[in-house]
Order: sequence, then structure tokens, then C-alpha cells
Amino acid sequence: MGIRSLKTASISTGAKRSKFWDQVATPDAYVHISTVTVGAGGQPTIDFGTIPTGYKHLEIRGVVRTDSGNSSDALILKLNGSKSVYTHYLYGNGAPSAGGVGSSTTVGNTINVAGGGRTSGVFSGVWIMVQDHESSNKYKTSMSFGGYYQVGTGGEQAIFDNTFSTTSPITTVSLYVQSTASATTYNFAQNSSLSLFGIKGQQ
Amino acid sequence: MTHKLLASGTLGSTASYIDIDVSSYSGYKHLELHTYALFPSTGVGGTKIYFNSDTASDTNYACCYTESNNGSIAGATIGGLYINYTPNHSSSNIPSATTYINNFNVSGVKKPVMSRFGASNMIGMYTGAWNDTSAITSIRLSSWTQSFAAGYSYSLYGLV
Repeated sequence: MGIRSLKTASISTGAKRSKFWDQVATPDAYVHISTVTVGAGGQPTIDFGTIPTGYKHLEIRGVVRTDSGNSSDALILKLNGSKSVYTHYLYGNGAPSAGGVGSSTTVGNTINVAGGGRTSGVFSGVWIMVQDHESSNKYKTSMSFGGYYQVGTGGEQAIFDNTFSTTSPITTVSLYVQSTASATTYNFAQNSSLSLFGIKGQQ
Repeated sequence: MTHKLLASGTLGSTASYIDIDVSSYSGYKHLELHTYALFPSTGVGGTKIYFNSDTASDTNYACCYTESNNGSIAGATIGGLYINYTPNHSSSNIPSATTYINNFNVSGVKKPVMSRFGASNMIGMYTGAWNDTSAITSIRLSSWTQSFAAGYSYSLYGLV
């Protein structure tokens, strides 16, 4: 039996006991790549730059608020410098008649987030997943889940699916925020923070 | 380790709440909570979440939801911060949920909480908030309408 690798659970210590099993130590399958936290004054983009290779999927988690005067704005994901070309979503804001589904080929909205028109301290929770991003023959997609709530006033929530027009491996990831109704862009507000994770899988 | 199990448990008997101390997990940035909700009786059951010592009332919590249990979409805004729910719990209709509490121990952010939940006859999502910018140091899972039953289980994961 060949010893390929060891981990502490495989080892019995002690002067007269030494036991090795033929185990393969599994490296972490879920790896933190980078976190960007916005400081005073805000910033227009959250840019993770060139991402390391060797992951099957990407995940982004964090909290976001913009510096607009709006109640909510659009958080937009860019892969290799381009936003998505098709969006489909399930949306609700607590009003029985307001929930629904929709689609868009223009804004590229990845999830709605709290705007600066909300009370200070109100942020959106954000979860985004990009699957099989290193593939060289598949159009890239993302799934998102997020929402916010201003206690005493209201909030909203949604799940989004986005399709990007590239089949190339994704090497750069960045995000920005803009109006849901126009091309006006805003800054991420202070304390906005997004973390990028890589998930291992068979390539 | 980036994604680590911090705490988990399964109730051995009926309880009205479960407390989880997260004060020692300052090295993590995000929390992910998985719940499998069992209730003693058929009918309405659910789980609300509270933080730190702010457990006496729902005043500082609220959420809205979007759900479907018959093919159409329904929604409402409610006081309290819910993470899972079923209108008619039974042995074949058990709500489970994944709840995200991002940036749980930073100050300056009123903590947003997002849950995706479902049971055999419904699916939905909650987003809500705790109206407080304090770092979260403890979590209470509190039963709603009826107690938690033996077998109610949870797992809490931390992400750096």
C-alpha cells in the first residue's frame, strides 16, 4: 500500500503506535479569493481583477448599497469586461400584486440593491453564482439572489438569471451599479463589501 | 478553511427556541444557516430569527416574502424576521431553508438576512433586516405559532 498523502486524522501518535492509512487529503473545495470593501467616499466599481485559475465555479457574497437618491438600483456583473445580454427574474416587494416575473435584454441587472434613498445603514444582501466559468465552449450564466429591507418602510427581493454572450473562459470579474430605469451610474456606498470565492470541481 | 461548519444540532425534545453563540467567530465574514423544521402538530409552523439580546419583540425586525404554493405568486410584508414557514406542516410537508447573513460582524450595516425556503407544497424567499448596526454575536431561532419538535435540526457555516 503506497502512502499518497496524510492528514492528522490518519495518524496515531505515541512511542509504540504509528499507523498510516492510504488516504488522500482533500484540499478545500471552497476557497476565498478576494474581498473588496468600499471606504469613505464610495467607489464606482468593485473589481476583482484577473482571477486565479483552477476553479469550476465562482460565488460572490456580500452587502451592497449605492449613493444614489433612489430606493433601489441595479447591481451589474461584468465578466471579461461585458455585462449580460439576457436577464430573467422572479421579483417581489411584499405587495401581493407586485410580485412577478420579467425579463430584459438591456440593463443587464444582476440583482436589485438598496439605493442611497434608503435610511442610513440599509444594505442589500447579495449572493451570485457563476457556473463553469472556465469552460471554453459554453455561454456563461449567473444566478443571483438578493434583497433588502428598511424596517418600518419596506423592501424587495428577487432571484435573477443572466446569460452572457461569451463562451471564452472568464478571467476577470467586476461589478458596478446603475439606475434600474436609465444608464445613469452611481457609486457603491461606504461599507459595501463583496467577497469572491472559487469552488473546486472536475474541470 | 474558507467554508467551515461552526455549529449544528438536532433537538431531542420539544423546544420553543434554539440559541447559537457566534461571538467567537470573528474570523468569519459571512454566515450560512441550514434549517430543517419539524413541528409537533399539523398546521402552521415557522421559524423567526433574532440577534444578540434583542429577543423580546419583533419591533426591530421585519421582512417581506414572495412565495408560491399553488402556481400563483403571493407576497406580503410582515413584522418579525422569518426564515422558513409552512401553512400546513405534516410528515410529508416539512419546510427547509438556507439563510444567508452576510457581513454579520461588521458595524455600520443594518444586517440584511435572506432566506430561500420550501416545502413539498410551496417555495419562496424572505428578505428582511435587523434594524441595528451592531455586530451579531448570538442567534436565536424562535418558533412561531407552535413549538419546534424533536428532530428539528440546524447547521451553521462560516465563510471567511
